[in-house]
Amino acid sequence: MTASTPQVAMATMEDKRLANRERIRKARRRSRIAAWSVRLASLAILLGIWQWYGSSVNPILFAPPTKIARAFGTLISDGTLGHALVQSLTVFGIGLGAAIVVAIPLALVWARYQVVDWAIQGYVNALYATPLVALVPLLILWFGFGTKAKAIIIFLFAVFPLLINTYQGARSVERGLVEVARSFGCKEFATWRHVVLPSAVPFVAAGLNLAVGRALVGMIIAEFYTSASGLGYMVLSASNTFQTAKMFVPILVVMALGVFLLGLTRTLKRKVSPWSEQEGRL
Amino acid sequence: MASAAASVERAAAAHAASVECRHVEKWFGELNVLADVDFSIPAGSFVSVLGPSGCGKTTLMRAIGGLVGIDDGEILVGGRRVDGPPAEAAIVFQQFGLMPWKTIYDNVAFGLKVRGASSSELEERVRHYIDLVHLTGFEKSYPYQVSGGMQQRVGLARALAVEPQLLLMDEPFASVDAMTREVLHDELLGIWERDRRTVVFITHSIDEAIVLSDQIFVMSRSPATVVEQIPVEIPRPRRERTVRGLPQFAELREHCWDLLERGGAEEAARS
Repeated sequence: MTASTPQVAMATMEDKRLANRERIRKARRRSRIAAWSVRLASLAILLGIWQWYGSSVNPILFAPPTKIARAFGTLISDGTLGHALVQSLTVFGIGLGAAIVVAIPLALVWARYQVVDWAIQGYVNALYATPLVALVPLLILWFGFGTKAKAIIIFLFAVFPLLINTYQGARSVERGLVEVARSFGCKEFATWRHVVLPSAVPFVAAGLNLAVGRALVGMIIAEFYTSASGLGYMVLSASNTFQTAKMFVPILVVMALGVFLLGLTRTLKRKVSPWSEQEGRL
Repeated sequence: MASAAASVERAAAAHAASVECRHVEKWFGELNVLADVDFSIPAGSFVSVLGPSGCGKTTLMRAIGGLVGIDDGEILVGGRRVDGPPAEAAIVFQQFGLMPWKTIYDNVAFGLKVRGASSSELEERVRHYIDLVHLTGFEKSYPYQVSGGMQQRVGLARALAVEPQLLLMDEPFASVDAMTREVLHDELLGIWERDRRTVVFITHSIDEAIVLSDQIFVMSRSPATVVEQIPVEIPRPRRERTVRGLPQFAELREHCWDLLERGGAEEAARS
Protein backbone atom coordinates (compact mmCIF):
# COMPACT_ATOMS: atom_id res chain seq x y z
CA MET A 1 0.00 0.00 0.00
CA THR A 2 1.26 3.50 -0.82
CA ALA A 3 1.42 6.26 1.79
CA SER A 4 -1.96 7.97 1.96
CA THR A 5 -2.24 11.69 1.31
CA PRO A 6 -3.36 13.93 4.21
CA GLN A 7 -6.80 14.31 2.60
CA VAL A 8 -7.31 10.57 2.50
CA ALA A 9 -6.19 10.30 6.13
CA MET A 10 -8.62 13.04 7.07
CA ALA A 11 -11.44 11.30 5.25
CA THR A 12 -10.69 8.06 7.06
CA MET A 13 -10.69 9.88 10.38
CA GLU A 14 -14.02 11.47 9.56
CA ASP A 15 -15.45 8.08 8.57
CA LYS A 16 -14.28 6.56 11.83
CA ARG A 17 -15.77 9.38 13.79
CA LEU A 18 -19.11 8.98 12.05
CA ALA A 19 -19.06 5.22 12.48
CA ASN A 20 -18.30 5.62 16.15
CA ARG A 21 -21.10 8.12 16.63
CA GLU A 22 -23.48 5.76 14.88
CA ARG A 23 -22.38 2.88 17.12
CA ILE A 24 -22.99 4.93 20.28
CA ARG A 25 -26.39 6.04 19.00
CA LYS A 26 -27.43 2.46 18.31
CA ALA A 27 -26.24 1.24 21.70
CA ARG A 28 -28.25 3.98 23.41
CA ARG A 29 -31.31 3.10 21.40
CA ARG A 30 -30.97 -0.59 22.25
CA SER A 31 -30.75 0.12 25.97
CA ARG A 32 -33.77 2.44 25.78
CA ILE A 33 -35.80 -0.25 24.06
CA ALA A 34 -34.70 -2.80 26.66
CA ALA A 35 -35.68 -0.50 29.54
CA TRP A 36 -39.15 0.12 28.13
CA SER A 37 -39.73 -3.55 27.35
CA VAL A 38 -38.95 -4.46 30.97
CA ARG A 39 -41.17 -1.65 32.27
CA LEU A 40 -44.13 -2.69 30.12
CA ALA A 41 -43.66 -6.36 30.94
CA SER A 42 -43.52 -5.56 34.64
CA LEU A 43 -46.72 -3.52 34.37
CA ALA A 44 -48.48 -6.27 32.43
CA ILE A 45 -47.52 -8.87 35.04
CA LEU A 46 -48.62 -6.62 37.89
CA LEU A 47 -52.00 -5.93 36.23
CA GLY A 48 -52.37 -9.62 35.44
CA ILE A 49 -51.82 -10.69 39.03
CA TRP A 50 -54.05 -7.90 40.28
CA GLN A 51 -56.82 -8.85 37.86
CA TRP A 52 -56.60 -12.51 38.85
CA TYR A 53 -56.42 -11.90 42.60
CA GLY A 54 -58.90 -8.99 42.54
CA SER A 55 -61.54 -11.14 40.83
CA SER A 56 -61.08 -14.03 43.22
CA VAL A 57 -61.63 -12.23 46.54
CA ASN A 58 -64.63 -10.59 48.11
CA PRO A 59 -65.38 -7.39 46.07
CA ILE A 60 -65.74 -5.43 49.32
CA LEU A 61 -62.05 -5.96 50.02
CA PHE A 62 -60.51 -5.52 46.60
CA ALA A 63 -61.27 -4.70 42.99
CA PRO A 64 -59.68 -5.87 39.76
CA PRO A 65 -58.32 -3.32 37.24
CA THR A 66 -61.22 -3.84 34.83
CA LYS A 67 -63.77 -2.83 37.47
CA ILE A 68 -61.65 0.14 38.49
CA ALA A 69 -61.49 1.25 34.85
CA ARG A 70 -65.24 1.03 34.61
CA ALA A 71 -65.63 3.05 37.81
CA PHE A 72 -63.25 5.61 36.33
CA GLY A 73 -65.49 5.94 33.29
CA THR A 74 -68.62 6.41 35.39
CA LEU A 75 -67.04 8.97 37.72
CA ILE A 76 -65.68 10.98 34.82
CA SER A 77 -68.89 10.97 32.81
CA ASP A 78 -71.13 11.97 35.73
CA GLY A 79 -68.70 14.78 36.60
CA THR A 80 -67.99 13.60 40.14
CA LEU A 81 -64.27 13.16 39.58
CA GLY A 82 -63.77 16.46 37.79
CA HIS A 83 -65.68 18.33 40.47
CA ALA A 84 -63.69 16.72 43.28
CA LEU A 85 -60.42 17.36 41.50
CA VAL A 86 -61.22 21.06 41.10
CA GLN A 87 -62.21 21.31 44.77
CA SER A 88 -59.00 19.60 45.87
CA LEU A 89 -56.73 21.59 43.61
CA THR A 90 -58.35 24.85 44.73
CA VAL A 91 -57.57 24.37 48.42
CA PHE A 92 -54.20 22.86 47.52
CA GLY A 93 -53.33 25.94 45.46
CA ILE A 94 -54.47 28.40 48.13
CA GLY A 95 -52.63 26.58 50.93
CA LEU A 96 -49.39 26.04 49.02
CA GLY A 97 -49.48 29.54 47.50
CA ALA A 98 -49.91 31.12 50.92
CA ALA A 99 -47.06 28.99 52.27
CA ILE A 100 -44.73 30.22 49.50
CA VAL A 101 -45.74 33.85 49.96
CA VAL A 102 -45.29 33.73 53.73
CA ALA A 103 -42.30 31.40 54.06
CA ILE A 104 -39.79 32.93 51.67
CA PRO A 105 -39.79 36.54 52.94
CA LEU A 106 -40.06 35.37 56.55
CA ALA A 107 -37.10 33.02 56.10
CA LEU A 108 -35.00 35.82 54.63
CA VAL A 109 -35.74 38.10 57.56
CA TRP A 110 -35.01 35.18 59.86
CA ALA A 111 -31.66 34.55 58.18
CA ARG A 112 -30.70 38.22 58.18
CA TYR A 113 -31.46 39.21 61.77
CA GLN A 114 -29.90 37.34 64.65
CA VAL A 115 -32.66 38.62 66.96
CA VAL A 116 -35.33 36.98 64.82
CA ASP A 117 -33.25 33.80 64.75
CA TRP A 118 -33.11 33.68 68.54
CA ALA A 119 -36.80 34.51 68.79
CA ILE A 120 -38.32 31.99 66.37
CA GLN A 121 -35.91 29.16 65.66
CA GLY A 122 -37.16 27.02 68.55
CA TYR A 123 -40.81 27.26 67.50
CA VAL A 124 -40.12 26.56 63.87
CA ASN A 125 -38.08 23.47 64.65
CA ALA A 126 -40.64 22.23 67.18
CA LEU A 127 -43.54 22.68 64.78
CA TYR A 128 -41.60 21.09 61.93
CA ALA A 129 -40.97 18.05 64.13
CA THR A 130 -44.59 17.83 65.30
CA PRO A 131 -46.79 15.36 63.40
CA LEU A 132 -49.18 18.03 62.20
CA VAL A 133 -52.07 15.56 61.98
CA ALA A 134 -52.25 15.92 65.75
CA LEU A 135 -53.19 19.59 65.32
CA VAL A 136 -56.00 19.00 62.82
CA PRO A 137 -58.85 18.63 65.39
CA LEU A 138 -57.68 21.82 67.06
CA LEU A 139 -57.59 23.67 63.74
CA ILE A 140 -61.12 22.48 62.96
CA LEU A 141 -62.23 23.81 66.31
CA TRP A 142 -60.74 27.20 65.47
CA PHE A 143 -61.46 27.54 61.77
CA GLY A 144 -64.50 25.35 61.16
CA PHE A 145 -64.99 22.83 58.38
CA GLY A 146 -64.86 25.03 55.30
CA THR A 147 -62.34 25.98 52.64
CA LYS A 148 -60.51 28.23 55.08
CA ALA A 149 -59.79 25.37 57.47
CA LYS A 150 -58.62 23.14 54.62
CA ALA A 151 -56.32 25.80 53.21
CA ILE A 152 -54.84 26.45 56.66
CA ILE A 153 -54.13 22.77 57.20
CA ILE A 154 -52.39 22.54 53.81
CA PHE A 155 -50.52 25.77 54.55
CA LEU A 156 -49.17 24.34 57.81
CA PHE A 157 -48.05 21.14 56.12
CA ALA A 158 -46.22 23.04 53.39
CA VAL A 159 -44.80 26.05 55.18
CA PHE A 160 -42.06 24.50 57.31
CA PRO A 161 -39.88 22.82 54.71
CA LEU A 162 -40.00 26.03 52.66
CA LEU A 163 -39.16 28.16 55.67
CA ILE A 164 -36.28 26.00 56.83
CA ASN A 165 -34.80 25.45 53.39
CA THR A 166 -34.90 29.11 52.44
CA TYR A 167 -33.33 30.03 55.77
CA GLN A 168 -30.53 27.53 55.27
CA GLY A 169 -30.02 28.64 51.69
CA ALA A 170 -29.56 32.24 52.74
CA ARG A 171 -27.31 31.19 55.62
CA SER A 172 -25.07 28.84 53.69
CA VAL A 173 -24.00 31.43 51.11
CA GLU A 174 -20.34 31.03 50.25
CA ARG A 175 -18.39 33.60 52.25
CA GLY A 176 -15.88 34.00 49.45
CA LEU A 177 -18.60 35.29 47.12
CA VAL A 178 -19.82 37.79 49.70
CA GLU A 179 -16.25 39.04 49.80
CA VAL A 180 -16.11 39.30 46.01
CA ALA A 181 -19.26 41.39 46.11
CA ARG A 182 -17.86 43.66 48.82
CA SER A 183 -14.58 44.10 46.96
CA PHE A 184 -16.50 45.43 43.96
CA GLY A 185 -18.28 47.90 46.19
CA CYS A 186 -21.56 46.12 47.02
CA LYS A 187 -23.30 47.41 50.10
CA GLU A 188 -25.66 45.16 52.01
CA PHE A 189 -28.67 45.42 49.70
CA ALA A 190 -26.62 44.77 46.57
CA THR A 191 -24.86 41.85 48.25
CA TRP A 192 -28.24 40.26 48.99
CA ARG A 193 -29.47 40.88 45.51
CA HIS A 194 -26.39 39.61 43.68
CA VAL A 195 -25.12 36.90 46.00
CA VAL A 196 -27.31 35.78 48.90
CA LEU A 197 -30.63 35.45 47.06
CA PRO A 198 -29.32 33.67 43.97
CA SER A 199 -27.32 31.22 46.05
CA ALA A 200 -30.46 30.41 48.07
CA VAL A 201 -32.46 29.56 44.94
CA PRO A 202 -31.56 25.84 44.77
CA PHE A 203 -32.46 25.49 48.46
CA VAL A 204 -35.81 27.19 47.90
CA ALA A 205 -36.50 24.87 44.95
CA ALA A 206 -35.63 21.81 47.05
CA GLY A 207 -37.90 23.17 49.80
CA LEU A 208 -40.71 23.60 47.29
CA ASN A 209 -40.29 19.98 46.23
CA LEU A 210 -40.67 18.83 49.85
CA ALA A 211 -43.53 21.27 50.44
CA VAL A 212 -45.53 19.93 47.49
CA GLY A 213 -45.30 16.37 48.82
CA ARG A 214 -46.38 17.43 52.29
CA ALA A 215 -49.14 19.70 50.97
CA LEU A 216 -50.67 16.72 49.17
CA VAL A 217 -50.72 14.77 52.43
CA GLY A 218 -52.25 17.79 54.14
CA MET A 219 -54.88 18.07 51.41
CA ILE A 220 -56.12 14.49 51.84
CA ILE A 221 -56.08 14.74 55.63
CA ALA A 222 -57.99 18.02 55.51
CA GLU A 223 -60.61 16.44 53.27
CA PHE A 224 -60.92 13.44 55.57
CA TYR A 225 -61.62 15.52 58.61
CA THR A 226 -63.54 18.53 57.35
CA SER A 227 -66.60 19.11 55.17
CA ALA A 228 -67.45 16.77 52.32
CA SER A 229 -65.40 17.78 49.30
CA GLY A 230 -62.50 16.82 47.11
CA LEU A 231 -60.63 13.63 46.36
CA GLY A 232 -60.11 12.79 50.03
CA TYR A 233 -63.84 12.78 50.62
CA MET A 234 -64.35 10.61 47.52
CA VAL A 235 -62.06 7.98 49.05
CA LEU A 236 -63.86 8.22 52.36
CA SER A 237 -67.41 8.03 50.98
CA ALA A 238 -66.60 5.12 48.65
CA SER A 239 -65.02 3.31 51.56
CA ASN A 240 -68.03 3.96 53.83
CA THR A 241 -70.35 2.49 51.23
CA PHE A 242 -68.06 -0.45 50.43
CA GLN A 243 -67.63 0.59 46.80
CA THR A 244 -64.06 -0.56 46.60
CA ALA A 245 -63.61 -0.07 42.85
CA LYS A 246 -64.74 3.56 43.19
CA MET A 247 -62.36 4.04 46.08
CA PHE A 248 -59.38 3.21 43.90
CA VAL A 249 -60.19 5.99 41.43
CA PRO A 250 -59.36 9.03 43.61
CA ILE A 251 -56.39 7.14 45.08
CA LEU A 252 -54.94 6.64 41.60
CA VAL A 253 -55.66 10.27 40.73
CA VAL A 254 -53.85 11.51 43.83
CA MET A 255 -50.96 9.21 43.00
CA ALA A 256 -50.74 10.61 39.48
CA LEU A 257 -51.01 14.14 40.85
CA GLY A 258 -48.13 13.49 43.24
CA VAL A 259 -45.90 12.04 40.54
CA PHE A 260 -46.70 14.94 38.23
CA LEU A 261 -46.20 17.73 40.79
CA LEU A 262 -42.99 16.30 42.22
CA GLY A 263 -41.63 15.84 38.71
CA LEU A 264 -42.61 19.42 37.95
CA THR A 265 -40.78 20.85 40.98
CA ARG A 266 -37.71 18.73 40.25
CA THR A 267 -37.65 20.05 36.69
CA LEU A 268 -38.13 23.55 38.05
CA LYS A 269 -35.13 23.11 40.36
CA ARG A 270 -33.00 21.92 37.46
CA LYS A 271 -34.13 24.85 35.34
CA VAL A 272 -33.55 27.58 37.93
CA SER A 273 -30.24 26.28 39.26
CA PRO A 274 -28.39 24.27 36.63
CA TRP A 275 -25.09 24.91 38.41
CA SER A 276 -26.16 23.13 41.60
CA GLU A 277 -27.28 20.08 39.60
CA GLN A 278 -23.82 20.04 38.08
CA GLU A 279 -22.13 20.07 41.48
CA GLY A 280 -24.38 17.27 42.62
CA ARG A 281 -23.26 15.08 39.75
CA LEU A 282 -19.55 15.69 40.19
CA MET B 1 19.09 50.00 40.78
CA ALA B 2 19.05 53.27 38.88
CA SER B 3 17.54 51.69 35.80
CA ALA B 4 14.81 50.05 37.88
CA ALA B 5 13.83 53.43 39.22
CA ALA B 6 13.82 54.82 35.69
CA SER B 7 11.59 52.05 34.38
CA VAL B 8 9.22 52.59 37.25
CA GLU B 9 9.07 56.28 36.52
CA ARG B 10 8.35 55.68 32.86
CA ALA B 11 5.59 53.31 33.79
CA ALA B 12 3.81 55.70 36.12
CA ALA B 13 0.55 56.63 34.48
CA ALA B 14 -2.46 58.74 35.29
CA HIS B 15 -4.75 55.71 35.52
CA ALA B 16 -2.57 53.97 38.09
CA ALA B 17 -2.61 54.43 41.86
CA SER B 18 0.31 54.20 44.24
CA VAL B 19 0.19 51.98 47.31
CA GLU B 20 1.79 52.76 50.61
CA CYS B 21 1.96 50.62 53.71
CA ARG B 22 3.20 52.39 56.79
CA HIS B 23 4.19 50.20 59.72
CA VAL B 24 1.26 47.89 59.15
CA GLU B 25 0.52 45.44 61.92
CA LYS B 26 -2.16 42.77 62.04
CA TRP B 27 -3.12 40.30 64.73
CA PHE B 28 -5.50 37.34 64.64
CA GLY B 29 -6.15 36.96 68.33
CA GLU B 30 -2.82 35.98 69.84
CA LEU B 31 -1.19 35.45 66.46
CA ASN B 32 0.87 38.27 65.01
CA VAL B 33 0.35 37.94 61.26
CA LEU B 34 1.89 41.13 59.93
CA ALA B 35 4.65 42.91 61.80
CA ASP B 36 5.80 46.35 60.75
CA VAL B 37 5.14 45.93 57.04
CA ASP B 38 6.45 49.08 55.47
CA PHE B 39 6.83 49.80 51.77
CA SER B 40 5.65 51.98 48.98
CA ILE B 41 4.73 50.95 45.48
CA PRO B 42 4.91 53.67 42.84
CA ALA B 43 1.95 54.09 40.52
CA GLY B 44 2.11 51.89 37.44
CA SER B 45 4.45 49.34 38.94
CA PHE B 46 4.03 45.56 38.95
CA VAL B 47 5.03 44.20 42.35
CA SER B 48 4.98 40.59 43.43
CA VAL B 49 4.71 39.71 47.08
CA LEU B 50 6.58 36.45 47.45
CA GLY B 51 6.45 34.31 50.55
CA PRO B 52 5.87 30.83 51.86
CA SER B 53 2.31 29.50 52.14
CA GLY B 54 0.52 30.76 55.22
CA CYS B 55 2.98 33.62 55.85
CA GLY B 56 0.31 36.28 55.77
CA LYS B 57 0.73 37.61 52.23
CA THR B 58 -2.93 37.03 51.44
CA THR B 59 -3.83 38.90 54.62
CA LEU B 60 -1.67 41.77 53.41
CA MET B 61 -3.51 41.82 50.08
CA ARG B 62 -6.89 41.68 51.79
CA ALA B 63 -5.84 44.59 53.99
CA ILE B 64 -4.83 46.66 50.94
CA GLY B 65 -8.14 45.69 49.32
CA GLY B 66 -10.00 46.91 52.40
CA LEU B 67 -11.51 43.51 53.18
CA VAL B 68 -9.86 43.24 56.60
CA GLY B 69 -8.91 45.98 59.00
CA ILE B 70 -5.41 46.40 60.41
CA ASP B 71 -4.42 46.84 64.04
CA ASP B 72 -1.71 49.43 63.64
CA GLY B 73 -0.15 51.63 60.99
CA GLU B 74 -1.91 52.74 57.84
CA ILE B 75 -2.40 51.80 54.22
CA LEU B 76 -2.80 54.40 51.49
CA VAL B 77 -4.10 53.70 48.02
CA GLY B 78 -3.74 56.60 45.60
CA GLY B 79 -2.79 58.74 48.60
CA ARG B 80 -6.01 58.01 50.46
CA ARG B 81 -6.27 55.98 53.61
CA VAL B 82 -7.90 52.57 53.14
CA ASP B 83 -11.10 52.15 55.11
CA GLY B 84 -13.20 49.53 53.33
CA PRO B 85 -12.68 48.45 49.72
CA PRO B 86 -11.14 51.37 47.79
CA ALA B 87 -12.94 52.35 44.60
CA GLU B 88 -9.58 52.39 42.77
CA ALA B 89 -8.94 48.69 43.37
CA ALA B 90 -10.21 45.43 41.92
CA ILE B 91 -9.27 41.96 43.07
CA VAL B 92 -8.60 38.75 41.15
CA PHE B 93 -9.30 35.93 43.57
CA GLN B 94 -7.42 32.68 44.02
CA GLN B 95 -10.55 30.52 43.81
CA PHE B 96 -11.86 32.73 40.95
CA GLY B 97 -14.90 33.84 42.99
CA LEU B 98 -17.30 33.64 40.06
CA MET B 99 -21.05 33.65 40.59
CA PRO B 100 -22.15 30.20 39.38
CA TRP B 101 -25.64 31.50 38.52
CA LYS B 102 -24.35 34.22 36.22
CA THR B 103 -23.21 33.67 32.66
CA ILE B 104 -19.65 34.60 31.76
CA TYR B 105 -20.98 37.84 30.29
CA ASP B 106 -22.84 38.72 33.48
CA ASN B 107 -19.87 37.77 35.65
CA VAL B 108 -17.62 40.12 33.71
CA ALA B 109 -20.32 42.80 33.90
CA PHE B 110 -20.75 42.38 37.65
CA GLY B 111 -18.30 45.01 38.91
CA LEU B 112 -19.43 47.55 36.34
CA LYS B 113 -23.06 46.99 37.19
CA VAL B 114 -22.46 47.41 40.90
CA ARG B 115 -20.50 50.57 40.25
CA GLY B 116 -23.38 51.92 38.21
CA ALA B 117 -22.02 52.02 34.65
CA SER B 118 -24.50 53.15 32.02
CA SER B 119 -25.86 50.30 29.94
CA SER B 120 -24.18 51.33 26.67
CA GLU B 121 -20.82 51.75 28.37
CA LEU B 122 -21.30 48.47 30.19
CA GLU B 123 -21.96 46.48 27.05
CA GLU B 124 -19.03 47.97 25.19
CA ARG B 125 -16.56 47.43 28.01
CA VAL B 126 -17.72 43.91 28.78
CA ARG B 127 -17.32 42.93 25.12
CA HIS B 128 -13.90 44.56 25.03
CA TYR B 129 -12.54 42.74 28.08
CA ILE B 130 -14.11 39.42 27.16
CA ASP B 131 -12.31 39.77 23.85
CA LEU B 132 -9.07 40.79 25.58
CA VAL B 133 -8.96 37.56 27.60
CA HIS B 134 -9.98 35.48 24.56
CA LEU B 135 -13.41 34.44 25.79
CA THR B 136 -15.42 35.69 22.83
CA GLY B 137 -18.02 33.05 21.97
CA PHE B 138 -18.39 31.94 25.58
CA GLU B 139 -20.48 34.90 26.77
CA LYS B 140 -23.56 32.77 27.34
CA SER B 141 -21.76 29.85 29.00
CA TYR B 142 -21.82 29.35 32.74
CA PRO B 143 -18.58 29.10 34.76
CA TYR B 144 -19.09 25.39 35.50
CA GLN B 145 -19.13 24.70 31.78
CA VAL B 146 -15.60 25.96 31.15
CA SER B 147 -12.12 24.97 32.36
CA GLY B 148 -10.30 26.40 35.38
CA GLY B 149 -8.02 28.44 33.16
CA MET B 150 -11.00 29.98 31.41
CA GLN B 151 -12.71 30.65 34.73
CA GLN B 152 -9.72 32.67 35.86
CA ARG B 153 -9.80 34.56 32.57
CA VAL B 154 -13.34 35.54 33.54
CA GLY B 155 -12.05 36.63 36.96
CA LEU B 156 -9.36 38.71 35.29
CA ALA B 157 -11.77 40.28 32.80
CA ARG B 158 -14.20 41.13 35.61
CA ALA B 159 -11.46 42.96 37.50
CA LEU B 160 -10.07 44.70 34.40
CA ALA B 161 -13.55 45.76 33.26
CA VAL B 162 -13.87 48.28 36.09
CA GLU B 163 -10.57 49.74 34.82
CA PRO B 164 -9.02 49.79 38.27
CA GLN B 165 -6.02 51.94 39.09
CA LEU B 166 -4.85 49.12 41.31
CA LEU B 167 -5.17 45.43 40.49
CA LEU B 168 -4.79 43.06 43.42
CA MET B 169 -4.13 39.47 42.43
CA ASP B 170 -4.20 36.75 45.07
CA GLU B 171 -2.28 33.73 43.76
CA PRO B 172 -4.56 33.88 40.73
CA PHE B 173 -2.91 31.07 38.81
CA ALA B 174 -2.21 28.71 41.72
CA SER B 175 -5.09 26.41 40.86
CA VAL B 176 -4.66 26.10 37.10
CA ASP B 177 -2.39 23.56 35.43
CA ALA B 178 1.21 24.43 34.55
CA MET B 179 0.76 24.83 30.80
CA THR B 180 -2.31 27.00 31.15
CA ARG B 181 -0.48 29.03 33.76
CA GLU B 182 2.31 29.84 31.32
CA VAL B 183 -0.19 30.94 28.69
CA LEU B 184 -1.97 33.11 31.25
CA HIS B 185 1.35 34.66 32.35
CA ASP B 186 2.08 35.73 28.80
CA GLU B 187 -1.42 37.11 28.36
CA LEU B 188 -1.19 39.04 31.61
CA LEU B 189 2.21 40.43 30.56
CA GLY B 190 0.72 41.54 27.24
CA ILE B 191 -2.28 43.19 28.87
CA TRP B 192 -0.25 44.85 31.60
CA GLU B 193 2.51 46.13 29.33
CA ARG B 194 -0.13 47.97 27.33
CA ASP B 195 -1.84 49.93 30.11
CA ARG B 196 0.47 49.62 33.16
CA ARG B 197 -1.93 49.69 36.03
CA THR B 198 -0.43 49.21 39.46
CA VAL B 199 -0.43 45.51 40.29
CA VAL B 200 0.13 43.78 43.60
CA PHE B 201 0.56 40.12 42.79
CA ILE B 202 0.58 37.60 45.63
CA THR B 203 2.44 34.38 44.88
CA HIS B 204 4.49 31.60 46.38
CA SER B 205 6.16 30.83 43.07
CA ILE B 206 9.59 32.41 42.61
CA ASP B 207 9.52 31.87 38.85
CA GLU B 208 6.15 33.52 38.47
CA ALA B 209 7.31 36.53 40.49
CA ILE B 210 10.43 36.99 38.33
CA VAL B 211 8.64 36.56 35.03
CA LEU B 212 5.95 39.12 35.80
CA SER B 213 7.28 41.79 38.13
CA ASP B 214 9.17 45.06 38.25
CA GLN B 215 9.92 44.39 41.89
CA ILE B 216 9.66 41.39 44.18
CA PHE B 217 8.90 41.90 47.86
CA VAL B 218 10.13 38.83 49.70
CA MET B 219 8.27 38.17 52.94
CA SER B 220 9.40 36.26 55.98
CA ARG B 221 7.52 33.60 57.83
CA SER B 222 5.02 34.87 60.41
CA PRO B 223 4.99 37.40 61.83
CA ALA B 224 5.46 38.43 58.24
CA THR B 225 7.42 41.43 57.20
CA VAL B 226 9.11 42.47 53.96
CA VAL B 227 12.68 41.13 54.09
CA GLU B 228 13.93 42.57 50.85
CA GLN B 229 12.66 44.49 47.83
CA ILE B 230 14.34 43.02 44.77
CA PRO B 231 14.21 44.93 41.49
CA VAL B 232 13.75 42.75 38.41
CA GLU B 233 15.72 44.46 35.67
CA ILE B 234 14.60 42.36 32.77
CA PRO B 235 13.47 44.50 29.83
CA ARG B 236 9.91 44.46 28.56
CA PRO B 237 8.05 43.31 26.58
CA ARG B 238 8.66 39.96 28.23
CA ARG B 239 7.54 36.46 27.40
CA GLU B 240 7.87 33.68 29.92
CA ARG B 241 9.96 31.33 27.75
CA THR B 242 12.45 34.04 26.86
CA VAL B 243 12.73 35.29 30.42
CA ARG B 244 13.42 31.79 31.68
CA GLY B 245 16.37 31.54 29.31
CA LEU B 246 18.10 34.68 30.59
CA PRO B 247 21.10 34.52 32.95
CA GLN B 248 19.44 37.14 35.22
CA PHE B 249 16.55 34.76 35.69
CA ALA B 250 18.77 32.09 37.23
CA GLU B 251 20.58 34.67 39.39
CA LEU B 252 17.35 36.19 40.70
CA ARG B 253 15.96 32.75 41.31
CA GLU B 254 18.98 31.79 43.44
CA HIS B 255 18.79 35.07 45.33
CA CYS B 256 15.08 34.73 46.13
CA TRP B 257 15.58 31.15 47.09
CA ASP B 258 18.40 32.08 49.54
CA LEU B 259 16.21 34.72 51.14
CA LEU B 260 13.29 32.36 51.55
CA GLU B 261 15.51 29.62 52.97
CA ARG B 262 17.01 32.01 55.45
CA GLY B 263 13.45 32.84 56.46
CA GLY B 264 12.93 29.16 57.19
CA ALA B 265 10.71 28.61 54.20
CA GLU B 266 12.20 25.47 52.68
CA GLU B 267 8.80 24.36 51.47
CA ALA B 268 8.20 27.42 49.31
CA ALA B 269 7.45 26.14 45.87
CA ARG B 270 10.47 25.62 43.66
CA SER B 271 8.11 25.38 40.71
